[in-house]
Amino acid sequence: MGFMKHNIVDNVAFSNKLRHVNPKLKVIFALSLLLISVFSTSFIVPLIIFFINSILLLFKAKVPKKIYAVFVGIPLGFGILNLVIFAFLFGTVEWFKINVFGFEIPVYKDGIELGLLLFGRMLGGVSSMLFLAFTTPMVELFYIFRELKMPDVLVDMMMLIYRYIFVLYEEYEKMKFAQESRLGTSNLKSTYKSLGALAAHLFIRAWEKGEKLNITMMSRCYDGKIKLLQTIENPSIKYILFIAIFDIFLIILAYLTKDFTLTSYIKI
Amino acid sequence: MHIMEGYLPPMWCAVWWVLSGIVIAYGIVKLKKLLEESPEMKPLVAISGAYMFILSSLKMPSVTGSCSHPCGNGLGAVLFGVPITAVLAAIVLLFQALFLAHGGLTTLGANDFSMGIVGPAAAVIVYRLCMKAGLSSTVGIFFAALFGDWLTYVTTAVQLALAFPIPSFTAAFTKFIVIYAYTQVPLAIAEGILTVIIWDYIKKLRPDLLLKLGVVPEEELKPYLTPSPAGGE
Repeated sequence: MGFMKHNIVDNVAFSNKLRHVNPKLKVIFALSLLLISVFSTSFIVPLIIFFINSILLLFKAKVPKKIYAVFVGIPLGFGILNLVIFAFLFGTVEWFKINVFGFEIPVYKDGIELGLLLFGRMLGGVSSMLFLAFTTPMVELFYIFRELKMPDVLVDMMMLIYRYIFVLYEEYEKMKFAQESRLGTSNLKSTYKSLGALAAHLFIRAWEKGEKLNITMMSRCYDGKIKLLQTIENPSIKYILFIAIFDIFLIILAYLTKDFTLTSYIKI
Repeated sequence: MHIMEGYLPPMWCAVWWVLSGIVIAYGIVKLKKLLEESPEMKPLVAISGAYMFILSSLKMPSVTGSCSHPCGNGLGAVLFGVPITAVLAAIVLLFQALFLAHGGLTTLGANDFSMGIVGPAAAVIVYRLCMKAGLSSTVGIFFAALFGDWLTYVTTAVQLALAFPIPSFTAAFTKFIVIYAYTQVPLAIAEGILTVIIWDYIKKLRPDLLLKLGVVPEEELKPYLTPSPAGGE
């Protein structure tokens, strides 16, 4: 199931080689690349951003290649499918036609261009988010949110939901194993029945655990705000300047390539 | 749903961020008030958020830059209302962007508008109509989850058609909604059934919370509220 992946990312975030780089620095880096990628009007700079993030994650952070491939596969797969859809369905300028069993199917030039742009932006954007996700544990982000003066109730709810996601996952593993031990998935009908019971019990069990947690916290003088004792120091101004210069370089490059269109270089 | 990072043009990212931001800000105020008045609600609110995370992480690709999946937003909407569900959805979407590369930060505004605002609003409206019609809350929650899911996807199709009105809004919307319909119609029905099962458990285990939230008539909860004579709490 898809949601098992959150465990993988969380584990990598704690064990990667960029783990101890200042998290504020990593947030600034990832968000700036993300914004540059999204604001680009051709796919060149987003692709460059994708390669930079990939190199940093694979060779500096030492994220396992297999794990990275799985996560990058998502925007890659969607990007390719989307490109095909846009080439055939989302365009107004006809480029050429494909003859299939006597039917002429038009391929749109502007559809391909838009598809390529979205493809690049998705790779650049998702890889920037993955950079942050794979290198920075969620708990450090909570500190940063607190420093940014996000409402207490919001950050507290984030922390509780974060915890409950793993509670649900643990309970899911136990119940799934127990069901399979009793041949709960031996045919389609019992699979659906087991899934419904699993989800329902999962909800209730996690809720019960949440109630116990709440009582435990209140017995320790919890008054509605989870206090954090640690603070994260600000990164060195030197590194901020490095990132700023790098961002400016990318912005200039994005401006210079803003009108690039691949299809104008291909003759039909 | 869950429009992928980088898929929307920046202008549309900003528009949806502003629209969602307004509701989220109001939701934070309401959430703070709810938890001050009823601290015992905190675990249920948090578990509703985690439930939304789990359900909306089970995704199936539907060829364009987003995908189909259950949303889990009907339950939270009926229990706590739309603004609080918008806050929970924003948190869930943030985690999914960071944990699963599912959705994104620039598209969080758009995704929250569909999954955290329009979907829950549809769920609440349908639920209240069912209750006014005299149906039981179990039937109401089924249709709430069903319509909450469908309206989430209709909204996403609208958002994508607005961003890419090629050759026209209507044509683009039709394409997106048809692509989603194949997976989303049966998925919503399955989610409705799942939510009914969970709802029945909540009624049995914590009817006092439902009574306090005022979402289920007292007469329907009466059988569950009677304490067991054999040494109940």
